[in-house]
Amino acid sequence: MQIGDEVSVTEGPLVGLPGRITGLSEHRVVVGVHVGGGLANVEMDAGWIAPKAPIRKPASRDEREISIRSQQT
Amino acid sequence: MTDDTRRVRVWRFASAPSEFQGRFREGRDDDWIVHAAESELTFIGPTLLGWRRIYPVEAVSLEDGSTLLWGAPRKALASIAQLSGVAGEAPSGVERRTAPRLQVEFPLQYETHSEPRRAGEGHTIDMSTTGIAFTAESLLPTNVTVRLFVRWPVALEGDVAVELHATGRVVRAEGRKAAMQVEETKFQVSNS
Repeated sequence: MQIGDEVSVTEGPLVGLPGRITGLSEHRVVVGVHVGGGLANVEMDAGWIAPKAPIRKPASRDEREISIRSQQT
Repeated sequence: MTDDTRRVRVWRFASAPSEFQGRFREGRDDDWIVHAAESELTFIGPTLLGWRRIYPVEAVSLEDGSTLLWGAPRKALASIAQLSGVAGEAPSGVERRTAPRLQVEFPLQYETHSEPRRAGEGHTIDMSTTGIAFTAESLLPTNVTVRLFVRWPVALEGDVAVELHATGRVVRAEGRKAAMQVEETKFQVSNS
């Protein structure tokens, strides 16, 4: 990852917030997050962020039934 | 890196500077600590303190005007027990689990991480900090890694749903019931 990349916070009290990397060191990153009507630069463990993407969850029953139906047709 | 005076810094408790750890005697490795300058707290404080609905969060003002906050997600189950007035049951003499467990029925989704892969929906039967018993749609194989997405009964401000993501190993399974030994948990803001 590099400065400017869009990420999501995946751990800790800011989990779920989107942001953009504004600083990098060996094990820590600084992420600019829009929160509470302002922009805060938050330094955290580099392992607490991931490229911006929705969290994958198991397919719901409805989604699985749709998938099965589409395979049958 | 950016100007220190304007930065908010977040750590796992175990990785925080020792002078900050020392401010919170109850702190444990998997808790979190935040250090925020006065100017930043205006923005970020409500979000951090918002977790108080789910688990204990404490704030301490430092001499320079900055603030330290400590949160203990591992105490979320105790918070539920306190809110609902339900006392946790101590394990019986022959019970292998050691932590008090709470009989609660929270909806969940699950998926196993090894073959044969299974995914489905169910609900918790009882929970402790070390184990979760839950219902499944079919018999789950033992010793496989399973991940649970448990819908937490308390939301953040603005009705933002929260899930507990718990990963562990299926240690017992019978019919449509299974029990997992918890290896890792974390709260996530729900994306559903």
